[in-house]
Amino acid sequence: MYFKASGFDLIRPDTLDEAIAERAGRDDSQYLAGGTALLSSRYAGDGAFPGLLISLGKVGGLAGIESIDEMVRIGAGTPLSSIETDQGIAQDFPTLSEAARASGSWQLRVRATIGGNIGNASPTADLGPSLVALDARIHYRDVKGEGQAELDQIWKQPGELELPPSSVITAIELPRRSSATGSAYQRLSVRRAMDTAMAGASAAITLGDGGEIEDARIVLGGVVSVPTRIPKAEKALIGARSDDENVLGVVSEVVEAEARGSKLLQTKSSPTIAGYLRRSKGDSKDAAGEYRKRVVPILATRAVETAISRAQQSHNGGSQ
Amino acid sequence: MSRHQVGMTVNGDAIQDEVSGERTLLEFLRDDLELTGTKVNCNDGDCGACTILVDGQPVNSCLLLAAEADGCEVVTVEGLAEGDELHPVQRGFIEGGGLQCGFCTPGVLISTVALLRDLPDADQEEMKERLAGNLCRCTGYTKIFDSVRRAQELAKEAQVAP
Repeated sequence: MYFKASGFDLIRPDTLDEAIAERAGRDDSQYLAGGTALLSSRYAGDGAFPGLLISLGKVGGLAGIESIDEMVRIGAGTPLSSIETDQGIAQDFPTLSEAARASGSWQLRVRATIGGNIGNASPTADLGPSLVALDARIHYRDVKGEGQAELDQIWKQPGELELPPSSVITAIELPRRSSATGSAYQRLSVRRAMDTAMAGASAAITLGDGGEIEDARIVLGGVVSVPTRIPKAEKALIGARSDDENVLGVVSEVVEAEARGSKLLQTKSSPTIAGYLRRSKGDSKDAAGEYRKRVVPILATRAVETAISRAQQSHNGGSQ
Repeated sequence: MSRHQVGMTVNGDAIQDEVSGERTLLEFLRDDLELTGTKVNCNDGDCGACTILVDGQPVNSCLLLAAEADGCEVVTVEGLAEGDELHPVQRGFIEGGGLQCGFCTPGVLISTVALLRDLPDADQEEMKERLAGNLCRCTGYTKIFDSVRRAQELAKEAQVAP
C-alpha cells in the first residue's frame, strides 16, 4: 500500500437490489461507481471514509444515453467522457457537453459517472448548474422501490442530496424543449485545464415563434453551496426580444445584486485561488468569495449571450 | 478484509490472482506483477503518471481498485512494443525528444496511444485536451507536443506500410 489508507471492505454485487440491501444494512457503507472522487478522498485522514464500498461495477444496464419521446435519458453509470462526445447531447444540451468537458482530465472523465457526480453534490461540480438549468429529473431506487425527483428540489446542501438513505441514482432525464432552445456553460478557474471551477454559470433559453424569450433558466455554481437559480434574472429575460441589446446588461445587474446579497460558499472552492488571493492582496479569508461575487455576473452574462445566440440559430433552422 | 478473485489480461497475458478489496490496480501491477513501468506519484488522480489502458480507455490506475478490473483487458507501457519493434508513439517520443527525467513518460505514452487511436488527425487543441491529465515538470510540454505530432506522422506511415 503506497499511502496509509483507512481500511475498507469491498463487495461487488451482481444486481441493484442486492447492492441496495447491503447499503441499507450498513450505515458506514457507500456505493462505488467510477470511484474518481470517492477513492481520491481516501487519504484525507479525517476518518470519514466508509468501512464498506458497494461496487456498482457488475450491475448491468446503468450506462447509456437514449432518446425517449420528448426526453433524453442518461443512465447514472454513463461516464462523463461519453456525455461530452455524444452528438445528440451536443446538439440539444450544449451546456451539459461543455460542463462535462470542463470536469477533470480525460482519464478521470473516462471513469467518472454522471450519477456519482450528482450523488457527491459537490458545491463546485461543473455539471450541477447545467443539469439544474436543463430541469433534470433524477430517477433513483431504494429499499422501497423506484422514485423520481427534480434535481433542483433535492439539492439543498453541499455533499448530499435529499434522497432516502439507501437510494442509488439510476438515471437522469432531461426534457427536450422546442427546437428554438439554446444553452451554454461558462466557468472560471486559475488554470484552464484540470482545475476546479471557482465559479460557473449555466443558461438555457427558449424562444417563442416571434423570436421573443419564452423561457429562461440562469443557474450559478460555486458561489453558494448548491447550484442556485436566479429567478429575478430569469423573469427579467422572459418576454424580452432576444435581439434586444439591453437584455445582457439587465442580466449582469440582477446577478450582481443577487450575488452581493448571497451567503457565500464557506468552503473554498479552490484552495489554490484562495491562497493566491490571500498572498497577493493581503486580503481576508473571504477573498476568494469576494472575488467569485464579482466574477459570476460576467459568467452569467456570457452564458446567456451564448445561449441566446444558439437559440436564435436553432430558431432559424440552422444547426448550432 | 474482503478478498476477491480477479482474472484479467495484462499486456496480452492471462492473469488469475486473488487481491484484497483495498488493493488498487496500480499496486497490483507494480507490486504483484512487478510491472514497474507504470509510476506511482500523487495517488490522487492529479498527475497521470499511473495512466494505463483498461479496455482501451486511459485511466488513472491509482483510482481503480484491482478487483474492479476483473474481466478487463489491461495494457501498460511494457505492452506497447511488439518484441523489439517499438510502438510508433514510443518512436515519436524518441525522435521528438519528448522526455527528460522520464518519470511522466509511461503515462504520457499511454494517453498519446489512446489519443491517436480516437483522433488520428488530432490538432494542437485536441492534443492539449487529451493530455491535460499528464503532468510533466521537466519539458515545459513543447517537446511533448512535438513528439505527439511526430508520433502522429509515424502512426499514419505505419498504417499505410505494406
